[in-house]
Amino acid sequence: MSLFNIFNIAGSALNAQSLRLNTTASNMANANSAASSSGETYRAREPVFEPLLGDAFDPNGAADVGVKVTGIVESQAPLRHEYQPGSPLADADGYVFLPNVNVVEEMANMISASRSYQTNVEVMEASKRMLQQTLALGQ
Amino acid sequence: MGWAGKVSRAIDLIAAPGGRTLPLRPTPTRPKSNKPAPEPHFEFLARSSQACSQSSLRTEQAAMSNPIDPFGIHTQALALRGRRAEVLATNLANADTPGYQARDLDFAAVLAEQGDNGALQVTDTRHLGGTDPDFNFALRYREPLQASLDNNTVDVQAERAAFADNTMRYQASLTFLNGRIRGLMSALRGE
Repeated sequence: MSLFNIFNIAGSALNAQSLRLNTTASNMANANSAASSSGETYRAREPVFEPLLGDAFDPNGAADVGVKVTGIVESQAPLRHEYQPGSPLADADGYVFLPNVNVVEEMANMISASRSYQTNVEVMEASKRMLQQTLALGQ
Repeated sequence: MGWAGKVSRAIDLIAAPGGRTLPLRPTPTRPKSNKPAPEPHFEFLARSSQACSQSSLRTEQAAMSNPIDPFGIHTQALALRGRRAEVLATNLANADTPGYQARDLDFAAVLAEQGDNGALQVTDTRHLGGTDPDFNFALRYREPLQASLDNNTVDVQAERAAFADNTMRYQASLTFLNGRIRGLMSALRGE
């Protein structure tokens, strides 16, 4: 029954979107984590999504469809280099490295992820109702 | 309106190509490989939809007189609606996946394909309807209404609307089935 597959599909999307929310939360939490060298500095992270299609063109297939997270990449944007001579992390010239997190971008990402999460929850609800009504058929 | 009129209206409602407001383009032809045979109930759907496209009256007669399958097109319609819900859920799940191409299946295309090529004409009640072995639910790519930078063609609002439409048609089929079962039950009880 294909309606049961919807739980797997929407479930994979919920998984992916909650991971996206997690990375966003992590980025925001570390937006101002200073470090004394560029290697130690936190960089904005982002999950990479990929469709999980199985053989979707095959009428018998489509058993494993949905979305999967293939990995998490770090942003290659330049780090912020600020003059903070009072900081204990400052180098000899008085500069500290700050993460390349763009807070505005992260907020937009967060809203997009939570909307997608809601959409998939509603898809699950709808298919649950469809299944319940099918089970109650003839009663 | 008589009983026959009601049934043909019911068939119109079920067979109406839901979500056709969104343009679809055909999927690229795939090489014919060792494709497994279609599932039995899918094949059954093709046969029944062909009957529907030829004459709704025939389906109605079948629904009335066939003691084995008193439910007409609705059982197959439920299978198709269930499958379409799955396809639309996949689109919604991949709303944020770069490069994902939204897909949908086109009920009207299934009907047209089954009417034109491959399908055997049924001219007698003792004939078995044949189906196109390559019948693949006419899964098509959605024509994007708005281009996106990452080549994703999912329009979440349109997909949600199509999903809601599909759900309502599923429930319509269920309602018709429920009515039919109730009718049969009261006929059996004879109260």
